[in-house]
Amino acid sequence: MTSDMDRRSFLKHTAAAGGAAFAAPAAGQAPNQQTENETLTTDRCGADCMVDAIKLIGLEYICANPGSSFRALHESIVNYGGNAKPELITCCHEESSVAMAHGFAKIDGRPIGVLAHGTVGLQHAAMAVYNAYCDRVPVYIIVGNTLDATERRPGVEWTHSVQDAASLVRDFSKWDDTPISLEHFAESAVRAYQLAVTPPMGPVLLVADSELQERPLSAGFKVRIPKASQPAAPQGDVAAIAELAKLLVGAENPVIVADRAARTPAGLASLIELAETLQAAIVDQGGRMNFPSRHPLNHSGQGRAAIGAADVVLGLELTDFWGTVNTFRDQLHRSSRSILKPGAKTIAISTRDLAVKANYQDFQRFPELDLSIAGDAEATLPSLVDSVKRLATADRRRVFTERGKKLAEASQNAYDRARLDAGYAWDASPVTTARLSMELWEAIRRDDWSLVSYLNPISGWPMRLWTFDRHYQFIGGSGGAGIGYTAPASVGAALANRKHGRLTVTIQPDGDLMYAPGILWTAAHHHIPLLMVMHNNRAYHQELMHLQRMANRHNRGVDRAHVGTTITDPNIDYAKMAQGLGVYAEGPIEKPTDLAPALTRALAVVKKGEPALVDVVTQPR
Amino acid sequence: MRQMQPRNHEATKNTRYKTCSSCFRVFVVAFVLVAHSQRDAGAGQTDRGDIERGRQTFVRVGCYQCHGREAQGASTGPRLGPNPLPLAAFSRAVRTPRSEMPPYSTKILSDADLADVYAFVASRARPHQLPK
Repeated sequence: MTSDMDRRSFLKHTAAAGGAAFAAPAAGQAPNQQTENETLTTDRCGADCMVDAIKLIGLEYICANPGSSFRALHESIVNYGGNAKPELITCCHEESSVAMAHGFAKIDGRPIGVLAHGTVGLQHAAMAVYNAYCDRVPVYIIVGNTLDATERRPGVEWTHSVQDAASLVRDFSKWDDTPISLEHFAESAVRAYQLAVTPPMGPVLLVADSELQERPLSAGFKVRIPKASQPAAPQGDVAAIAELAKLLVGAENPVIVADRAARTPAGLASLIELAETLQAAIVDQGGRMNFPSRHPLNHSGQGRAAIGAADVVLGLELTDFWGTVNTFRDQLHRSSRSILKPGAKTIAISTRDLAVKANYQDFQRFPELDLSIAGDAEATLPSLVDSVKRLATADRRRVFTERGKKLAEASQNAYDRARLDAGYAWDASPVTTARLSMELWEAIRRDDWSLVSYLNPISGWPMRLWTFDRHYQFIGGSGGAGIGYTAPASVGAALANRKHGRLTVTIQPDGDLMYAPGILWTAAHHHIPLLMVMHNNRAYHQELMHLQRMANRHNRGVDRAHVGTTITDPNIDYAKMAQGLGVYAEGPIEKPTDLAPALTRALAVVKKGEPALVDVVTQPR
Repeated sequence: MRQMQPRNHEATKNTRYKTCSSCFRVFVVAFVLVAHSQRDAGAGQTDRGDIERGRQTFVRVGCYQCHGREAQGASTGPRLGPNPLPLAAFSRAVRTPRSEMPPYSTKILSDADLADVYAFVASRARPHQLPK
């Protein structure tokens, strides 16, 4: 390979000049002066080989805010690669690029790419990388860098260069590499993809050296790109699954708690099959679309009570098993206690222990488990279902059936209560989050919809009131609770839904949007249909409540809790902001009766293939 | 009166938003408190406070942040009205909360203010019936 290249690297000069390269400068020659001119014009460059590798692994899009350290790769994508698979998506902030890829992968299952500067770009992107890492979502990041100091242009290129670019995010990414040849890049590109999509999934990073990108290539030069294979997810140990099945079948009141368990329609179907076979309660913690919201075995709304009454608790890909079975009080005094009844068995199926890093503490408090099964929950569920079916005698099935009847009745009661609760303050202004949810549901429920925002900020109303039963109808949250995720992840999810013709909706918190509102322009520019309904409570409300807690704990009152936590004076006009960025928008809507007509108008825009925003001034939660 | 329920998802974990774990505990207390109110609440109890002053105090001292501006409840705090707890129990819950609710001493919320707040929450409207 080396002999086929026109190299402009330091090595070339070394080879040409032999030992003289290390000799002292000749008399009259300034230090570092080079007299040889490099020829940079060429029909092909190293970045073309990088694009070949990217195309082979199948990245559909690449999100990027432009940067000189990857200028050759950028140019190759749009010219050599024809700007198709991958198509370049213009982002206004690298955090938006990564979060878009995060949201895309949660709908599509496959990662898309991100291009960024290895220094300032990756610094911008870092929080979103952390979110993806915590959320176990694959994101494929390529950063530009100029390692060879003699190749850097004076000035900014030095401040935009770094010895070890990936070190910035190494604590919270799954793998990285800094290839030093195009063959090395090709091999690492495929390896990175496979590692990203092998559970536990996560963001990966390749450093594309600018010299490698811009290196002129001769006409016949080719790089061999290794074959990529789709990795099979790791399954739990057979003997451990048999033991678990025995516990579940013998239990009087088993509860299955799911967080990031179902990645695909198959995962959703497997959990339904397990639940229905056992007639066991499911508590969906909402990291993924794990279980239909209106299924009679869905007891998510009574999760703590269900867990407290259980004799067997099975956790599937839980973020925090300890927090699931314990309370932790942070008020007049700090205390914790188990909510489990004595003798209750706890079992986990999770990939968490297969890829743990030390520095960032997302692994949570250590749970004392009776059985810990290392493996991917979705991949393990079919064998668990088979084992349970084999062990379930006719007597046990009769017990299951009776249990199921009681659970179904309790589930219906919970739904009826939710509907009643939603009716309180129905006509209030600001609009209640329950009314916002119900008005939105009425507007979209006849379509093939996908709700791509997390539901904490609006008291979880949609999951209590809507009918979720398809895997793309909900995608969980950010993972790392880094604010600024929802808007770009929603646009990314909408991009993934676009080819399926699905109606994507998001309930957009105001504080989140203000981190990087340029994502609205990206949605408009790329014609990404998305209905954004603002949950505009004019505050960083979570933090406001923390201030309130501290102020009262210190006996000072909450009169000043708004200082530094509210987004008022002036109120932000999100409709005007969105309009300025090319997005159809209405609002602010303060009267609840104005909401339904505004949603109808905005939906008409979205159904034509464009984004739209409806700003609704809402109650705090 | 019906009790509020914990919100759907984060009720079972306290990882992503610490306050959300507290929401559940708030709800647990609310379950008890509001359930009691069904048999104990009396209309005369609101006579001790002023509804409009109570509304202002409800906002000023931040009750609405967790319970909503109409005391309708949310994931962060239970519904408080209409038909609240008996005033004595309501007062205990405010002064020495068993949940994650911030404690309100008399230094930051006088008994008179508390009575006004009580009058306000007791006067809230009955729920709208959602269509089937």
